[in-house]
Amino acid sequence: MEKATKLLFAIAAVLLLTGLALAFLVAPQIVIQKDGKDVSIFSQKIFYFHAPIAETSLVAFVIGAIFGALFLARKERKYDFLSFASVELGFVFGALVMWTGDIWTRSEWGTWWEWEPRLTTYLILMLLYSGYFVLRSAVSEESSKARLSAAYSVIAAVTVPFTFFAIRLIPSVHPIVFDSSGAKMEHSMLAAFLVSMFGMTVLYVAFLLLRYQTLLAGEEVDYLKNKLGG
Amino acid sequence: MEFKEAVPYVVAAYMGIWVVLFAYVFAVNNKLSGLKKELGALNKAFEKKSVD
Repeated sequence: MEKATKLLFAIAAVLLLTGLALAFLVAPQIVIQKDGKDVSIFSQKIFYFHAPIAETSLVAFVIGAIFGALFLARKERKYDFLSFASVELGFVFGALVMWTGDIWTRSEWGTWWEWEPRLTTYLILMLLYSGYFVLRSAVSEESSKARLSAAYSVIAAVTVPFTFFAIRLIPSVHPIVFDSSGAKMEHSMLAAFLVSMFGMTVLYVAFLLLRYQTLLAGEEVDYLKNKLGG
Repeated sequence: MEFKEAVPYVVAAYMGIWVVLFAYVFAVNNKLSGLKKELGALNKAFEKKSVD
């Protein structure tokens, strides 16, 4: 691992641990009135990592599409690698979104799944992106693989704004924390969220660099093997 | 949901996140280390072939 990547991982770790500490030690616990009694919503603490991971996954898919478009325009191999790495990261973060979201849904709504706009559109997005990996593994010729998967990453990214705006356009039980009037939370909660969000973004960049280095090294190994074999 | 009932859900959510992220960084870093070793060996073999 290169020094810059190591540094980014260290910064991300510090930020995420700070976010975690702020979420559990500083941010107040939400209390609601239920049947005349005060009930604390402890599972709301999941939000401090769930939402940043969700935002990062959507950003990763959009960046994957941007690099995909750059590859289609310039035909440079590095853009294919960066697009693939970003989509893969979006998928890993997306799996974590599903995991944390389902746990929150179970704890708050009493069910593992609800066919409401955000969950449904996110599931569609994940299924669509799983097709990206099927496509990539199905095509063996390198230039066709790069061209087709770049085009796919651009088309699949259309689902990202749809997923993001789903709960703002269609009535939904999914909480909306940010709207046109700003953040619907206290300052200490917002601070915990923003630190976690920034940490998750730095982590994404670190992962992207690490994965990109791996793909470059793999290509170099293949090149030398072919040259030695020939 | 009461605090005591919610704790396992919160712990499971955060454990899942850390486990997956650590597993991913470990797997990718291991792959990169392996490829760098292979690259070193291939470069040596290539140099040897060029000299011969």
